Amino acid sequence: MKTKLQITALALVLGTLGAACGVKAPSQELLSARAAYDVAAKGPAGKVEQDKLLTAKQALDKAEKEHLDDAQSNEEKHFAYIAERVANLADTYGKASMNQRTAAAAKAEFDQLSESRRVAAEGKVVKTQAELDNERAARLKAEASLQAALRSLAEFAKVKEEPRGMVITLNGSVLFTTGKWELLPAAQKKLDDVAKALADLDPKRAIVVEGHTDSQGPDDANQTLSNDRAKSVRDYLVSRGVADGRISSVGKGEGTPIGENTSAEGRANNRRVEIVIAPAK
Amino acid sequence: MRSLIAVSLFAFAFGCGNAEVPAQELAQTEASIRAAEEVGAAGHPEAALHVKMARDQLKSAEKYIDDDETELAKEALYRASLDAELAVALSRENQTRVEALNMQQKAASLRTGAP
Repeated sequence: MKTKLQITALALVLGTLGAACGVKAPSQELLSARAAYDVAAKGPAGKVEQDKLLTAKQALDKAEKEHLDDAQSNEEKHFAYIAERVANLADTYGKASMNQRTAAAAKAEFDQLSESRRVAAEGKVVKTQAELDNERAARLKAEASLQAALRSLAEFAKVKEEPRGMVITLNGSVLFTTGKWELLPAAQKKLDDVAKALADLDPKRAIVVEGHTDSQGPDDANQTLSNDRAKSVRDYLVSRGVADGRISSVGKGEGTPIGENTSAEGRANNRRVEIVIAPAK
Repeated sequence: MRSLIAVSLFAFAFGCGNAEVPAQELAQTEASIRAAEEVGAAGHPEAALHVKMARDQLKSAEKYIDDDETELAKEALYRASLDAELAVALSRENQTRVEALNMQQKAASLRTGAP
């Protein structure tokens, strides 16, 4: 309580002294102008809006002078108002300039990142193309390998293209002895090259081994024999590397002759095994 | 444009006015206020406040003109023009800030690998 009284007394004394000396407090406009100028000078405007800041300072000096000459006058308030607004303008233009620089830097980074992504994406496309080229080369190599193997079979096999695919026709007398379905050793050796070529061939191309007989003997016996011979060839090719899942066998019996069963030569041609390789898709 | 107006008005504000009715200054100030309104100052609270201040100063100027207080009218017009210019500047500063923020977000999305 005592302290409050002392402060009040001090304020009265100072107020009396101030009034006696003609000192008046600055107008609210002048106080605001001083604060606005300080804010602007310490912000971006201090670097990029120096002309505007100088104008604000001139107006502020004018307001300070008017304050000394005639405190709280309309002129003090007017120049203070101008000083505050010009300082605000300097501050605002400075911030806008800073925003533009920030945007430009962000855009430069964005462009650089976009370019990096584009280059990376192109690299991926090139890599994919390279992979396709490699696959194509491997496929061609496998085809060439198959053709080479087929050429080595020429002495006991015929190769021709049909709508159902490539058909390799192996003469039965070269593969098996009469009435049997075990492969002869010489035939196994020949089939090794075929197996290797088929193993490297496009895995999407299905393979069917068909067994055929002549018309001599009972139909059911011929059917069984053709089944067994086809399966024998199929199993041998699988044992030599052809994927189990892509090759099957079927016995056709005597039902699909390619020659007359009335002649020895025709019957020899009918006793055969056909390896059918489905067309590439 | 903004600098031209500010400089020319600042010149007479520092004491080179005359007793004629400031018709040209009046027209320029009205145009400045309309321009501030057109750039969308109403969408920015602080800018809208300065447009209102400019309108208030313009009314004061018109009253001073009616009272043959030409110098006071010129001062009021100058204050109005500064408020109008500040409203435009604030709107544009806001626009540049939004653009900078958007661009920073775009760059950040690429930097972090977001789509």
